[in-house]
Amino acid sequence: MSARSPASSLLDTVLLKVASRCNLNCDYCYVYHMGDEAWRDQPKRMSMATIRRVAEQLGEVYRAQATPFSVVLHGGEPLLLGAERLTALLKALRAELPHPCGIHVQTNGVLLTDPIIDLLVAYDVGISISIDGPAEIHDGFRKDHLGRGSHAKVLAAIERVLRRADARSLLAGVLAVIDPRSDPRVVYDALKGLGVPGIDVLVRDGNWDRLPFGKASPASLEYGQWLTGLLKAYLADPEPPRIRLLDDLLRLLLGGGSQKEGVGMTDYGILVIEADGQIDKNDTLKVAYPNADRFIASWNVHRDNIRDIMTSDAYQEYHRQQHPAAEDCKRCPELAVCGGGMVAHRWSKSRGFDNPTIFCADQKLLIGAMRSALTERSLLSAEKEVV
Amino acid sequence: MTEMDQRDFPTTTEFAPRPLEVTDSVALARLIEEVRLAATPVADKTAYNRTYHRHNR
Repeated sequence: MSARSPASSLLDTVLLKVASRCNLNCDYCYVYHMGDEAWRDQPKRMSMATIRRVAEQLGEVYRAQATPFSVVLHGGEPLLLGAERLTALLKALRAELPHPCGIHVQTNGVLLTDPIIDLLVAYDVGISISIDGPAEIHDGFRKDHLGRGSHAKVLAAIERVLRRADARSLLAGVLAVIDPRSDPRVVYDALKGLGVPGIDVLVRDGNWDRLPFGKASPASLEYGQWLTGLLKAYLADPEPPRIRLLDDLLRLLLGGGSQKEGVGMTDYGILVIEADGQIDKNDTLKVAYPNADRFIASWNVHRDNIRDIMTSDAYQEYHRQQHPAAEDCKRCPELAVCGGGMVAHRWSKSRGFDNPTIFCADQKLLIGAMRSALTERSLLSAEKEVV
Repeated sequence: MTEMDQRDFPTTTEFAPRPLEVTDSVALARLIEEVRLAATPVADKTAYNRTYHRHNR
């Protein structure tokens, strides 16, 4: 692989599953509660030997592809790695992946203490914290293993980061999972009220065989209506934070580009490295069926070279999987914006991934509302020509 | 990151070549400015900045 490598061989995101367990037990978690049990076979924490090997290999990838990428500490709960190993990991990663490569942590916030924040500051690690809105919504799902809500601890963690002038700029934002029964205006106000610069929202996972929580049928519009409510609040706000999902879709409608997977037609290159060094596909594929995120070969950083994997037929096939294959998608005038949704959400046993997203109707409603909002402001012509 | 091969897909040409200065929405005005400057989504310091990071969790 070199700077002339096919673009499909470029990495943009590496998820490091540095801890395979979680100190919370959220009802909707795609890692523990969607039927995949692979986490049980993983060590609880990434070893020092694996940390060293991961950093070496990622450094090799960066030097070879000559395009920066981001590493996200993920889990489970990544801060269960502990301060000592976290220090070693960040030191090793930063030595191999200098700026502009990004290092980030996606955390539930419960273990985000000042000494940990010191480490994140020292190695310039971006922080994203999971919180679903006000306590009455968040605590309905994001509970500890004794069934107690986690909202107060998460709120304290966010406030802890924001109080610190040296850490505040590291906080990318918060990540919220949607309860479609909730009032999007209430959730928006609560998340904005945290004082964070950005918000991202996630639909509940599901597919054509296993409908997402709160969705009555493939044609029903619970999530589309919720997101449209969020859009209205967002567009009317004189001092809005950023909302990643809405910004991505709107930017595409305005002729710009998108950022996150499952939106638009920009390819993504995501690999996951498990706590034992195993190399997997995008972990969200677990939503489809157990081990859907596994390559047929069992690759591991201790035995195999990531650069070789990225040029393998298996990786190229995984990469192609993100391209919408369903005829309905290929004919859809909104495909350039929708992108066919997340691969995991296209799954059915009868047709594999050859379906539109299970949120197709919701996506159309939301994109339609965005078109209306842009048209009303004369930012988009009313007629839509499909060529 | 690359663009998927869109030869097999329909494309829309609805983007209006008209002035984009005026909007009552701060969120939209911000995005319009980004697109106009051909900035990457992460170029603005106020963006949801997980540079180069595309995973949606």
